Amino acid sequence: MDQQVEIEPMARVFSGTMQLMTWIGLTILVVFGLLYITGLMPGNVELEDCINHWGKPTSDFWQTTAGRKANGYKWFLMHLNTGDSWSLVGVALLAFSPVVSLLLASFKAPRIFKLILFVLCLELIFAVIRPFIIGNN
Amino acid sequence: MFGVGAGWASVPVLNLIMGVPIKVAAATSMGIITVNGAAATWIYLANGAILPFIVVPSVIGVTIGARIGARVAHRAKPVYAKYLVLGVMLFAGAMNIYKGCSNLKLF
Repeated sequence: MDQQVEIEPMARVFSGTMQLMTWIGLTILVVFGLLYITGLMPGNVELEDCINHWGKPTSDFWQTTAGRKANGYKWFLMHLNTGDSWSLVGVALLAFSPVVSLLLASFKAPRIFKLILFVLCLELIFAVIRPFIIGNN
Repeated sequence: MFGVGAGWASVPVLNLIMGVPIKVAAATSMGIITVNGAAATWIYLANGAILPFIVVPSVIGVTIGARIGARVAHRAKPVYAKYLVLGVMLFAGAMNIYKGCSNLKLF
């Protein structure tokens, strides 16, 4: 027998925000990714180079294909004239969507959940800035 | 960090041990994976380890599959969802055992 489940306002806000941000992120990721793959937009890395070198460690891959290192977020944020960089902006937006969703959901949350959501937000924000604090590994 | 969200473990734990309905368990597990995956993504992004060339086709397939799965799960009887989860887990387990044995050259 199917059980009835009550959906709290907090969960509705969380899921609604996640859905909206996911669609925006996915659209950016897929549209610019397809423009890059079809050759309508240039990329940081040529597709042929990408296929030939994707088995390499990331540092070697970027050194061989683009002649530079990929470190932090500047390597794609400073090259927004390329399709693959915009695709990665879509990925970043997707990865950031739980932070925004949890923050908005916290306004509808009971007091005890506010604390949990706050801790979760801190954890996710730490994940964003972690590469600058303790390196990439 | 290995791309394993442990959905294979959290769904049975939520459903069989904690008594959460199977569809709610699957959705809750997805929520846990989403938040954990989002946190892990930044390390890969900062290392240049995400290639749109691979991500875009994967995302298209996963998005279509996830939407179909969510619609089917909404209409399907919970008992079928439970058997499907069990079947997929059994299949995945058998495949992992087979791969492990193959790597050890036991087959």
